[in-house]
Amino acid sequence: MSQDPRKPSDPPTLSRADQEEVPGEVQDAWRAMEAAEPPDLLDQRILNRARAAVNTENDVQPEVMGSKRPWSFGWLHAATTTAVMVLGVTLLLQVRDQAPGSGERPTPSAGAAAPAATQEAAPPDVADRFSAGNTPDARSSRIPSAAPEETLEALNSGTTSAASDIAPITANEPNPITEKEAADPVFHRALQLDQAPVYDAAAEGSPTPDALPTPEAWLEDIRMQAAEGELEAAREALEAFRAAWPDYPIPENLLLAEPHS
Amino acid sequence: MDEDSDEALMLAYGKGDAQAFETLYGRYRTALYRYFQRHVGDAVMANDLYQDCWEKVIGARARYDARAPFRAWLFRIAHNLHVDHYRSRKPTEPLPPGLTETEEETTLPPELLADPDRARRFRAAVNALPEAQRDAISLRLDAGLGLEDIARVTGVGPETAKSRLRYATRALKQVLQP
Repeated sequence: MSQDPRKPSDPPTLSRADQEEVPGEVQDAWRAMEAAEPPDLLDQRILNRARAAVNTENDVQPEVMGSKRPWSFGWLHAATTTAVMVLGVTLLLQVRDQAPGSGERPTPSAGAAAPAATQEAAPPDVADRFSAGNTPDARSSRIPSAAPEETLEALNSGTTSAASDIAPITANEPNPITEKEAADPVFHRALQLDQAPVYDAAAEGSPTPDALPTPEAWLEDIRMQAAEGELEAAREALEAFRAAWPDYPIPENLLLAEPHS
Repeated sequence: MDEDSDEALMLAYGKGDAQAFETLYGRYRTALYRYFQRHVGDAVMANDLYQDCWEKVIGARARYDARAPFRAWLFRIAHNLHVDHYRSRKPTEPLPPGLTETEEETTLPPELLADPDRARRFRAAVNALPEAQRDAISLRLDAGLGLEDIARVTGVGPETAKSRLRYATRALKQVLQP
């Protein structure tokens, strides 16, 4: 692995069939054309960028998580955590105001974790689980009461392991999440996007693919825009697409339609 | 997977091994640089595109899927940058003739064929090729890609890629005749 990075690469080898298609004389003349090497400074700059990218990744520090680094996704974690905390506190305050017997049983986290309609029915041990030691900061009223920590973790990781612990939800609860939803990363993403800042692909430079539509769907949207004559919007969307999926082939009909139509 | 393979190195880099990137970089720096040189006359612009390409590789390291050969993946990024370069340079104009659509026999200008200097004649012929054909032969000879990969990289069918390569080869062979 300690190869000199500037050692010239081996000439590409072609299969026999390929060589037959490109005669040797053409290959020789092609290679005889003068072609410079990348300047040393450029080599150094790129290698430095490559090292810096993994170095910052290897020692993630809190003070740089929100900084403007095109290589980092730390902002997502910070934004998600903040959003969940704000939501938790808001719900706590709402439940405190609305719960009729809140003065008698000051268990704010229980209120946050379980919907008001189910509080009376909740067994004491369940209520206790959410009292001391279970802060409301990371709780959502849409997360059922049985195992909030596990549920939240399942939502964060997108795994299904904790979802099976979810308790039944009463009919009174508006828009409850199902086990399937809790385990579904797409649902989780929607929950995050509800609370996190709007993603700005152009500003970030290195977008999170999970936060974007699939390339096919995105290209289809762009195609529709171009077909409807919204060329400027289509162009901008195509640029954003390129930024997000630099290696994804653009269909030729889109390449042709966009600048011409 | 061979641990020295391009794909293994890229995966290693994705996991934080900077040395793996350096090895990969050493393998492809010349080929990639020449690819941009063939397409962009301006050396400064070629440098920019070359750097952009590696930066995209760096940025996409965690997303790299080893099922895709690294070589083809790298040159797909390069090809896309090449297309974007034309688009951003003259966004309101059509793409250069042949960048996407030409599958026609190339007719070289007679004055080009009359140049007694064989090397100069060849170079002029390369520059006179439609972009798509030059792209195809550059991906073959500079990048070392096979037909299927050329098709994948340029987003066309294998037959189209084959035609482009055939026409380019025929035109270049023509200028090498004594």
